[in-house]
Amino acid sequence: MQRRELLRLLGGAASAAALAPRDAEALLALGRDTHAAVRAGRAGGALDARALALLGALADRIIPDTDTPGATAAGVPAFADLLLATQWEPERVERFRQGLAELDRRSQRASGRLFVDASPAEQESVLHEVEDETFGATPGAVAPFWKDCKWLVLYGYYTSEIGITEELRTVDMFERYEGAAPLPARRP
Amino acid sequence: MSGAAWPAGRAPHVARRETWDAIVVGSGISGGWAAKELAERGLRVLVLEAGRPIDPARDYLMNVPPWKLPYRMLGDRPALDARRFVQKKCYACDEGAAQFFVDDVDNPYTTPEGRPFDWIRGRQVGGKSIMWARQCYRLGDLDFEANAKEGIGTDWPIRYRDLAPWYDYVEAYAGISGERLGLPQLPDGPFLPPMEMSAAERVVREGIGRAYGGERVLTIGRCAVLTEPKPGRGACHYCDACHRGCTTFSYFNSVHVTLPDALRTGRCTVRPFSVVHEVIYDRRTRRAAGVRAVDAQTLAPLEFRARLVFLCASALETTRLLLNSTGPDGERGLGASSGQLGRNLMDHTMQVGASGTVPGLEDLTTVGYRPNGVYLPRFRNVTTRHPDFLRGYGYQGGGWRSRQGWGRGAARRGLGAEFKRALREVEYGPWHMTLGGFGECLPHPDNRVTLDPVVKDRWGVPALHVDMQWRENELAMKRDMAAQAAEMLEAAGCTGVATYDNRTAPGLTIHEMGTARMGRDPRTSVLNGWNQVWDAPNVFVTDGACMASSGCQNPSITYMALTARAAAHAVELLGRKEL
Repeated sequence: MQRRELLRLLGGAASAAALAPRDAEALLALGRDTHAAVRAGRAGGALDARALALLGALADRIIPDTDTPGATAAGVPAFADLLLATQWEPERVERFRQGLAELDRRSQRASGRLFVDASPAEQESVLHEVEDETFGATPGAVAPFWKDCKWLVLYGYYTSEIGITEELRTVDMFERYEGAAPLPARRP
Repeated sequence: MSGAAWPAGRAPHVARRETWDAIVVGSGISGGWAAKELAERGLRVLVLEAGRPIDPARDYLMNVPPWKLPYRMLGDRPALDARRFVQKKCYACDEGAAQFFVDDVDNPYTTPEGRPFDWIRGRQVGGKSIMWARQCYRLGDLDFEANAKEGIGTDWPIRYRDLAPWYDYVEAYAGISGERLGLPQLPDGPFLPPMEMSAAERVVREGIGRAYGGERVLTIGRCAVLTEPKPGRGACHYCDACHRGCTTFSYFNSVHVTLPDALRTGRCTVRPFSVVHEVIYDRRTRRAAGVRAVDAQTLAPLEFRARLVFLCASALETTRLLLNSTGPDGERGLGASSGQLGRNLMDHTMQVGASGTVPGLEDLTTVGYRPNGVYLPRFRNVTTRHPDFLRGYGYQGGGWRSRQGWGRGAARRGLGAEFKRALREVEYGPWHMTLGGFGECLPHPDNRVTLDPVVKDRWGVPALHVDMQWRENELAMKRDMAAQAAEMLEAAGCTGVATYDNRTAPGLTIHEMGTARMGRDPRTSVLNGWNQVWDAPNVFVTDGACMASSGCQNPSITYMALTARAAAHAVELLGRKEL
């Protein structure tokens, strides 16, 4: 690895707590995150390894592996992390991190386990609760985070190679234009 | 053209001592034509382009799928905010095409407080012809006669009959698809077969026809996109990503159409990275002797000599170059003796109109992505006189069926395999129809550009100060543009019709023109009827700077026709030793 790359990863992982004094444990955690990030080959740097794992788990609950690969297989967490790290306002990124932490808290309350360690059914139950609070008549405090999160997962999936070529099988070169064509048949 | 025209990334060596027959400044839509016409008519031509070379194999991103772009077509917003804060306002400055728009930090200009002007520029071989919107509409005598009839600005020194054969010539070569209508205010050309109109557009066309008779007609856009192949160029494959560079060369631009033909003569050299900042005026011969430039990479000063100079650097860059040159009286400003150089800047008003829903048609959709819209030619002040404003406007627009995009499902409840399966299907919404006006702008002497006394660009060339505002006639016309669009959509049976006016600043239409107008009298105009600078007749200005009025038509095809006409004339004059 290039030194420059390592410094970038360190900087990204540390960004939230960069100004706070670091104790030994925090430094150790930072080291773990950095190594995990290096292993995952991620390009972003807004989320630590734990948050990325959580994001991957929830992304697969939204878009699971079926007859086509799901969100994590399509690289959604790395894409989301890149947008968070380079494109989003810091306040919105922080809200996103807090939202992920909130999912962990809810998971621990419900099953006694962190979100990533809960069973798929338990994870879904947490997410259904968040869905209710987001799309219900009176949206809860979690709604802005969840809308961001869901958009990131879906946009990331449907712009990925897997999303476009395997899931949607989008054609972008028709070699003709028809202004009034019958609707195409539904996919079997 | 392949990248082999010059060594990778470097400007070719051009001997300083050589005297060229012609120098063409700029390689965009006008410069490409000047290069081709002059070289094909036997001249040795040097094209000087301020920007980098473009190699279609490397630089055209039409085929690049979203997952190969880091931000998946969302664009790198912080980078745009930092370096392309003006350019990003253009719809075409997307992640696949931002590379073709200038760096706003390197290319500054100033405006008065509270009077913005959005100057959208492309600095590379091909200029803005790479990402232009390809719409081609001729001016007619309604346009060429308007200034004289109304006593506004100066009379055009030409009429439609002067330009008609040149429109025929450039359109046949470039390849313009469209429908012939027989309207005097929008003359027809040798069009390739028109693209299809969509189901919604057909409904609106019929509705407008019923309500207004032959006075208003909705037609398919006339665009420089091939609907039949031409030698070396494929017919359109309908991906609607022209502005990122078309790998089948289906739309017209200088990179893959005019410049390769110019180079094929063996008499043309294109030198990129050549920032021309001055026309050298020889007071003894009362002619231009060549140009001075700066190498964009090394900052080395350059000088090139020629018998003819064609300025095709884009309207405002050409005028900036003239303002920064020295004229016959030894004062700054070549072509400035009339006092009109820099004045009468125009652009078209746009993004004002109406949208609505076309009911029904539920069992129909469109197939393919059409890189073209519909057009409704000017109907105001054609045979009748509108009480509120002079001149008129045309509409561009389109009718399409909405369907979900890449962020599908984000705004609704759902998780898991069932959700994923549901999102796999295309969900068709209603058919939408929109009409947006493009309005003529009157020439006004106080809409003008000058050299900024302080600010310079990265290459040390004085920046422009652009002072332009929409005035009474433009604003009155805009109100009618919104009202009439709504009236027509309603007459055609659309529901939920709403008007809009995005209040775009001048410049953003990227039809900026004028500032070195053609005319009949050296006391009131900068150029004569052959686009020659009155004060230096071997200097030709054939880009948008030359326009004496703006019409309401997308102007590029007129620049092409004027350039080809001027080039033929220049070669004739050289042959008669009159230059």
